[in-house]
Amino acid sequence: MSAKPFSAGGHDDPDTVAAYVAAADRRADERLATAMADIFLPERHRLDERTRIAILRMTEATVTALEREIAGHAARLLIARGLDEVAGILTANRTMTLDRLIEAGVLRDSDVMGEIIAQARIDLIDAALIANRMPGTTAALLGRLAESGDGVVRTRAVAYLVADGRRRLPAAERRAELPGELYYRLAWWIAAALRERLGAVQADGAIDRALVEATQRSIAAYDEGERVEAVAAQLAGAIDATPADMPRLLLEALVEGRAILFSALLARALAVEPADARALMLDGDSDRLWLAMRALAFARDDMARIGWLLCEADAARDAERLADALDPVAALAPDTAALVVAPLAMPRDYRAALRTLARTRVS
Amino acid sequence: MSAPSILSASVDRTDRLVEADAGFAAINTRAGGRIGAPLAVPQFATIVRLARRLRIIVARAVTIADAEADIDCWVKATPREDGVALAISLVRQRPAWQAPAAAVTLAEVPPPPGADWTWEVDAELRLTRLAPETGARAGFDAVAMQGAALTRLFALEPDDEGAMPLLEAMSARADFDHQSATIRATGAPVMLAGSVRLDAAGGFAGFVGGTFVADPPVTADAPAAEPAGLTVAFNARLEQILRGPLGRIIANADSIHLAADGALDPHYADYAADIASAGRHLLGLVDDLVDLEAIERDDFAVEREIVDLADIARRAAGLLAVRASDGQVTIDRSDCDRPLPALGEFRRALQIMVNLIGNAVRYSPPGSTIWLRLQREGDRAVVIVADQGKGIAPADQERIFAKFERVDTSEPGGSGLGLYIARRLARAMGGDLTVDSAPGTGARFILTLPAR
Repeated sequence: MSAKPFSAGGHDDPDTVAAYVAAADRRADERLATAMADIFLPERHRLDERTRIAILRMTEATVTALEREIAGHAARLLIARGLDEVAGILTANRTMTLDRLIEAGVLRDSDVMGEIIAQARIDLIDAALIANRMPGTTAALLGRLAESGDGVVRTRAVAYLVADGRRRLPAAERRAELPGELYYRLAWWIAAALRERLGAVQADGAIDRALVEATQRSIAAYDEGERVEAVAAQLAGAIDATPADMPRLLLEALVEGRAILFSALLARALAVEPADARALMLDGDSDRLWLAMRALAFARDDMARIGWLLCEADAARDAERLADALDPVAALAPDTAALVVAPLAMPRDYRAALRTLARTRVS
Repeated sequence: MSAPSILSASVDRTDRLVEADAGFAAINTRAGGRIGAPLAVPQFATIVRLARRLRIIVARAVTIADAEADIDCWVKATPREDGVALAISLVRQRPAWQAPAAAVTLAEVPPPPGADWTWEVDAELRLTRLAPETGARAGFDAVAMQGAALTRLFALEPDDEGAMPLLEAMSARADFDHQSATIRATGAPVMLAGSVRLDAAGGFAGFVGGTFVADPPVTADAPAAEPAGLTVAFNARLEQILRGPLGRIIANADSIHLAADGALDPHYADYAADIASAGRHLLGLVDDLVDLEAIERDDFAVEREIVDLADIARRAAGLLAVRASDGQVTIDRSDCDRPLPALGEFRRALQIMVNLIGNAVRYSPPGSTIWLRLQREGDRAVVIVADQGKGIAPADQERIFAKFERVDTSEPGGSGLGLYIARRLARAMGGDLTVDSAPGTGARFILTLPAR
């Protein structure tokens, strides 16, 4: 954002000039601090440009879609109460809240952004998995499951295909599918930012009531069970793969560009929460994923094949590093490797509490 | 290229070339390699090393530079007891300056524009995306179609010459349109079109398709359309679809023009400037259309705040100062020193003034002057923009305020919406916009707003 054009309302006012200069100084300091923070970011933690844009676009699409929903319904309520002018502001066609939420810092919420970043990265990984597929390779897993003789598997597979189709929309329409709690959080932020935009307009609480009602309506209509991650977990449950089948299933899921199903299958096999398995899959900075596979008694070759596909598809992974890790990991007994997932068996909230306490410990 | 489409070679356990067929040897030698030495093409050396270390077959698409050409190929490395065997399928050779077709896979493939509903199929024409709600609208069970063959959903029909555009596009790896079909479940006739999706090696990977309903089904109890809702949606989409991409095009073209990333042939810099200027023109049109949608809505309202018309006129003149001096036109704003308070919306009033002064600059001959005159007439605040152009005939004076009409139709540029929008805005603020002029005497545009 650039500074506002100078204006003293046509008056000769020294205070306005002084205030303007002070504000410009502040902005210059902020710019320098941001530039330095950017320059000294550790290279391995930097997002590449594609990932950055994918995350930003998904954030924008998610906020915009929810904002349109809340603002649109609130406007209808306000029109019904004769407040056409306020409703007109709400239905104006630009994104009203995103900049404000970013500026206010509320979008730096690590739960919400963590979820959006993970989903954007998975979209990119899936696209790369499909693009990298060897010519002539056929993706048959979901087709087979959708025609399975087992009715439960068939139903779940079709539900997964439907849910997964929602992710493959043009970027402008691809919203993040947030867990309920985070969705509610975002909805109230947007409602608050809309209220702020309407500023000092007085309408005896009618505006607040309309925004609250519209937000509650959006919240009530949201079903977190329809999220592709939830549906994938159900499909993984329905498949209920044997340990012997697991390496082949995981590999097929990757070949087909279905990283969410991959992490759902992995979660089921490891008996951990889907979000934890997804974090393992996305953690290109450590070898935890290979250790987790070893805990499932995967052979070296299976780990290498799965690892190779992920390394090729995920900019955060490096095949040379995988090659370094394979022999040491394969040499571990599965029970030893299982130590890496043991903490994940504890409830998430308990682990989060432990981490929070550890952060506050005096070093 | 006379080389066979598959090249092969093998390396020993230290990744040194042991044997190679003639085609591989040719490429490797041109890159500076020989038998007994490490592979000279770095992409080949990397994949050989990875296959040896991972001990599995690895394959990836690579592009290698060979003399004047870039060669897209698919490289497969198979680890063996005594080293690694390498097989290279040449996908295509192209001049070094053309972008690889595989870039298509990384970009988003958009569905055909204007389709009633869209779908996606993979290389085997199985449906990979089909939104459930489209089934409800088009009368089939979309859920049952998930993962099914496209031909279970549609019965494809040959065109008059017996050709099937979809199948031809599939083998040509190209986009298609005008594929006639019927929806099997309902028998409804539709037209299909699709944008091709390619895999990393440039092979066919599927279509992002669109269905165009031939005869929209008319139901007796169809709910009445919601014009306001539609407009809002259209507007929001217009913003999303056009503004973002145009903004990026302009920004990129500008930075190319400024040679921000290094020196550049002046011709390309000029092309970039043309692109940026065309982009700005389109962006202006988008702005106009968005405004048009907004002001034509029943519930359109402007803010009523106290604004200083003199300040607004001065700012508008400032914004156009560069264009005016390029056209050797003087803008006389000596009248803008005294405040002239009025009731209206700052942004909208500024928009009107920019439009009026912009028009005046455009139609003013070099060396002439544009006068900005401000006065209060009873309860009205008045700004007059007077130019020394060729003027407007009385017969045209109403026409120019109509939609898509222009002051001078022989003049290039302009959407023909500016004055229409400006007058609607002025009236929405409780004022008006009029013109008085005679051919040869220049034009006077008069904006009035309620005075304060």
